[in-house]
Amino acid sequence: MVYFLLSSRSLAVMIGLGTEELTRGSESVIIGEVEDTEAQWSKDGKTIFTKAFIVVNEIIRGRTLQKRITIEYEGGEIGDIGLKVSDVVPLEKGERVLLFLKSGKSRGDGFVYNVVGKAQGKYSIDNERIARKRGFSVMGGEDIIDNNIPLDELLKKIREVR
Amino acid sequence: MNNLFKYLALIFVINLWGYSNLSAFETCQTSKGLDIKWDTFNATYYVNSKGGPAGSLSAIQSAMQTWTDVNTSSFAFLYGGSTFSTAHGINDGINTVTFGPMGTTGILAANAFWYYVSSGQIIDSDIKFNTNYPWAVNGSANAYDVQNVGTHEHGHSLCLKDLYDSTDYEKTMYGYVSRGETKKIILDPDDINGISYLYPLPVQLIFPNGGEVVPSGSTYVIQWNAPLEAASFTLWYSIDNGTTWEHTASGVKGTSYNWNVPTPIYNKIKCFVKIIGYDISGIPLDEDDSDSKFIIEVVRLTSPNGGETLVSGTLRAITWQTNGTIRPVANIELYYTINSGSTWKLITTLEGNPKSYTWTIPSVTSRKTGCKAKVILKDANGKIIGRDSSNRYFTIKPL
Repeated sequence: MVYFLLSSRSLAVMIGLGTEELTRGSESVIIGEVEDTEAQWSKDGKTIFTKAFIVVNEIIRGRTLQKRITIEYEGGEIGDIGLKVSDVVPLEKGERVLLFLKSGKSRGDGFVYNVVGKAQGKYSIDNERIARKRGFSVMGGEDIIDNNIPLDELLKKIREVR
Repeated sequence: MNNLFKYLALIFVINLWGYSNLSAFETCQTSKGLDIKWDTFNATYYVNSKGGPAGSLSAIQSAMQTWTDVNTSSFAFLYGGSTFSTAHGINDGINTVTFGPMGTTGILAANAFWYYVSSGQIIDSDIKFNTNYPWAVNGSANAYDVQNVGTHEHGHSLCLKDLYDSTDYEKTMYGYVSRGETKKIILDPDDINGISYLYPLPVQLIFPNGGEVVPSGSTYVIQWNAPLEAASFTLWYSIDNGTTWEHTASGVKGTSYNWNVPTPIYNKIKCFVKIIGYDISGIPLDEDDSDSKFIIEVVRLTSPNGGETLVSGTLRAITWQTNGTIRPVANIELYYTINSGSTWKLITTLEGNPKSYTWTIPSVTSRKTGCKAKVILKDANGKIIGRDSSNRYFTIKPL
């Protein structure tokens, strides 16, 4: 998938999904650990979506109602059938992540959180506290996207957003 | 290809370029770590260009052809024709490229594909261009180029991932693109390595591949195609229709080998060559045999070779050619039959190997259509070391 950064630099109009825009577009930004994932068929049986259960370790901005939240995204594997959608990066069990979140209606039942900007809104945090994200294509704006960035620097940027 | 192969391939690519810090192509994997890929050498896409700019179909075909043209890969995208379908992301076994609105949430084009978890085999792949954003086919600065984005999306269809390192800037799979950009329509060497890793050329024997007549005792150049990661080859041959195989050579580099053709007793008409390719760790990658049988020829009777009408009492040259023999030729025996090989009569025995003899056509009482001549090579001990007969029947008629 080519993911379009809402920008037209030639017209000096930049509505991109840099850290500032991701933060503003989110209800909450959290650091957590992926406790488990579960793929399900949609109600019409035509597509697969995955629910990831996240244990929230730290709330960077906003709020979440619970210590354990559910994230939903397109794709996943059920039995021998798998679906990948090109701008969606799966959450992996045990993975430590920073997520930009917005609540929404589930493709199944109830309400869940979605990652803002799909793959753009998910950072994986490694043992050296470096935040990395992958799995998306963006139309321009690579210079405003924070990637492979020290976590503390990223958190500072998020917290500075007004 | 397993992960070890991929690791080795990546090392190979890095070494090939002389870089130590250059990032390389990345592939999609199942949750079990298997590469997700097509299990055939081609994938057919149907295109619904309605909603795209004029020329979109041609631009998409060009995008597909760019990947198909990679001569180090066996994979081809095929255009299956136009479709009215607007289905996207549905596992219906029909691969489509469509145009349609997808909102203004930033998604310019999407690629959804279905696969088997146990094997990684792709079973459906759909691409959709978001018509909520402007498109062009001429690199217009204010729109997104269909061929440019299409080439990138078809890279995803192969299951190549986006790349983000600054050193990836020139690659088709670089994850950032902009309005008016067209550089992704030309593949970078790393993109080519990506498709070549996922869909390598098979080890493919070119010669001998069936139908050849190979002289015994000669030097014959065995030739083949092979993927980049095939570091060495082992060669075998069979003269008994593949029942048994004789080792020819091991540790062969390159894509050809000068084969010292054996000198069997009698012509061998059911011969095959087998080649096995290995990676740098000696693990077999692929193998191929001659598609059909070829001949190792010790001696060939060249005349009369069938179809002639000869007259009793006249003279006719019997001629033959000989190749390498297991032992020197000491004598030649010439025979003929007039009853389709039921019985053979000796014409003459010759010293040495003169390769020609003037034969007085025997007397017959009626027209004989089941005639053949035969040449037998013998060594100094009288043992047969080669023989051949007319390929087809000739006729002898009375004077």
